[in-house]
Parts: sequence; C-alpha cells; structure tokens
Amino acid sequence: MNELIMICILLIGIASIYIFNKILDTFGLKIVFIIFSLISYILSFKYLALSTFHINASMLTCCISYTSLCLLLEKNIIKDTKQVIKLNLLLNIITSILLYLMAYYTQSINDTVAINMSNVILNNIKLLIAYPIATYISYEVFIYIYIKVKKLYDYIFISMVSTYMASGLIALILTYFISYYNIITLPNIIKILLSTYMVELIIVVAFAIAITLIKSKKVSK
Amino acid sequence: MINIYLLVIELIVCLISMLLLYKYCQINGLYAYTIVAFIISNIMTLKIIPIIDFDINLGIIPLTTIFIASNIIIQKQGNEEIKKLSLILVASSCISFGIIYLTSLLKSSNINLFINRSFDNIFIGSERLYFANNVTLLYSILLNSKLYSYLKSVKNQIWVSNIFSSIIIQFLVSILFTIAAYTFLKEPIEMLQLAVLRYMISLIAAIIGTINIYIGSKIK
Repeated sequence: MNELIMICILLIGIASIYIFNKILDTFGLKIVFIIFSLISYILSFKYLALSTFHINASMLTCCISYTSLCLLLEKNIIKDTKQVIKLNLLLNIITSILLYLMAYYTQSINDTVAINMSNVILNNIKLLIAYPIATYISYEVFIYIYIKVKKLYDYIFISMVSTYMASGLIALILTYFISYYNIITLPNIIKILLSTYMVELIIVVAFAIAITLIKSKKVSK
Repeated sequence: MINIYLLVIELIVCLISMLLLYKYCQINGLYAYTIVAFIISNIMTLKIIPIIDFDINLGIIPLTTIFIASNIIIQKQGNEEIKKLSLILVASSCISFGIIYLTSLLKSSNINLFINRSFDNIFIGSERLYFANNVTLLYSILLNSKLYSYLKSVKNQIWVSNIFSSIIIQFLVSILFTIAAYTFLKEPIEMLQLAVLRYMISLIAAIIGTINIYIGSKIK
C-alpha cells in the first residue's frame, strides 16, 4: 500500500511538471518548483517506514523540486533560476513565521486538531530555522555544480545525478543535524539520513533516465 | 486576548512579506505569495480558536491577503492576469491537498512516532474544511477580479475599488465558507455568528490592505 501511494505522489509530480511546462513554459516550471518546495517543507515534519528503511516524507516532493530546477537550468536561464531560489528562501522563511505563529494561538476547547498542530510544530522548532537555510544552501550548490558539470559533459543524466549526489547530501546533513541534534539519537539520525539519501538518489536517477529518453526522442523526431 | 494580538502580528507579517516579495521579484513574487498564503491558509483553517467567546477557524488573514495581492496584480497588469492566478491557485490547492493527504495515509516510522501520528491526525478527517476553504477562495477570487475591475473603470481610485469590492466579496467569502464547512454540523445561529465574526476580521484586514495596494502601485 505504501509503495502504491508513493507511486501516486510521484505521478502527480511528473504530471504537474509536464502540464505546467506545456501551459506556462518556464514560468510554469518556476511555479512547480515553488509549490513542491513548499509541500516538501510541510512534509519534512513526518517520517515514513518503507520496509526496513526510515525515510523523511519530503523526499518524493524534493525530487520533483530538483527535477524542475534541473529543467530550468537546461533552458539556460541561470540568472532567473538563482532568483527563484532566493524567492524560495523568502517563501520558506514566511512559511516558518506563519507556522510558528499558528502554533501559539490559544485553541478552542472544541478543537481536536490544534493540539496535533502544536505538537508537530513546537517539537520541531529547530526545523523551522534549519530547513529554509539547508535547502537554500543545497540549491545554490546544486546550481553551481550543475553549471560546472554541464560545461564538462553536456549530458543531462550525468549533470543531474552527479549534482544531486553532492547537493542532496548537503541538504540532508544540514537539516537533520541542526534540527534533530539532541532530539533523536545520533544512530537514528544517521539511519534516517542515509535511507532518505539512498531512496532520493534512486528516484533522481529514474527521473534523469526518463528526461534523457524524452529528450533523445524529441531530437530524433 | 492573545489571539487578537497574534492575528494583528499575522496580518503585519503577511502584508510586509507581500510587499517584500513584490519589491524583489516583481509580479512573480506576488504569484509566489498567493501560493504560500493559500497553502498555509488551507492548513490554518483546520485550527479553531476562540475570539471574543466565539470559535472561528484560523487562516482568515492569509486568505484575505490573497485578495489584496490579486488586486495589486489587477492594478498593475489588468484583469486578464487573474485567469492565470486562478489556474495557479487551483493547481496548487489540488497538488498540495492530494500530496499532503496521501502522505498522511502512509505508514509512519517508529522514530519520532508521536509527532508522526500528530501529523497524520491533522489532515485525516479534515477534508470538508479544506474543501470549503478552497471552493470559497477559487469562486470568490474570480468575482473579486470582475468587481474590482468594474469599480476601477467607474472610478479610478484604489481605495474606492478595494474597500467597496472587499465589503461585498468578504461577505460572500464568509457566508460561503460557513455554509460549505458547517451545514448540518452547527446550529444556524452559530453559523451566523461565525460568518459575522469572520466577515468583521476579514473586512478589517482587507481595508488595512489598501495601504499595500497603494504602496504596490508605486513600486516599479
């Protein structure tokens, strides 16, 4: 069941990229990046059990964000892409402030949901600071490495996978070590980090293969 | 009383962020703001807070500021842009709800189990409120654009267009949300109280937002 739901989420992501790119072109890709980046932030509060792995729920949507970022860079609009990343940082900070404020409202006695919201946000208070910073740094690294790799090998598969290998790891290390130090035990942090990284890497490789195939088909036509 | 202070802080945060995003990223910043405000508003709506002895759903402030952002877009780019904004809002609402809801159904890890369970409990069973907030916004944003443009064409003054369109649209938003969210769940008198209180808060927020439209129209 878990696997089926995950496939559904991935399909939603792929369909979003395709539809937005068709309708709004570059602007559409920017919108997809922002939407999925925000959803990733919200999902980063949850951890999933996938077989023996313990993974962060945001990893599926993170892959979609990386893919849309990659497609933006493929269109050679580096200045715009850098601006989108800065915009994303601002949006994440705004989200953090609003989520923090939300947790502090006095709830109604008839409300059963509010206590869960406060639990999720107030127990992850460090994540509200760590996540925007970590994602911003990782996206900056992503762009930097992507441009360098693209100059060496103009092949989307190599650029995408090699870039993710570095920037994805940076994002995960920064997020988990800042957010969960002293909250979750160190072996558990490492367990989550490695599992999430491995699964994300597999998805990114799958996406990179799909994009390469689509591109090669377009060229042959 | 703390809730009222927090509502004021929330309004200030929303209005300042909207202007900052607009100043640094132009119209793209406003689109991005509406996405954030909409997704956060959808989550906030699930929380109920007491204000002056009445229970109301949160999320009114981000929702109202979306109208202010859309009015700045109309002011700068014209009514046609609202179709694009509506498309973006529909997509972001469907995608965010679909993914967050599906993720809540996924089996949680034993690590941080307490928080994982709390996360699931927020979204599972809250579909109606989520739906009410979405339908209300998407329907009224289109009406707002027509009304605002009409008022702008009749008398080209920002405060006239914003205040008069807000008086009508915020009333509609409050009524629609209350009906969609609480029909058959609350007594009619309770629904009326909720709608009136929502209307008061959103109208005050929308009127204060006029300042943003003035500042926004001066930003190049």
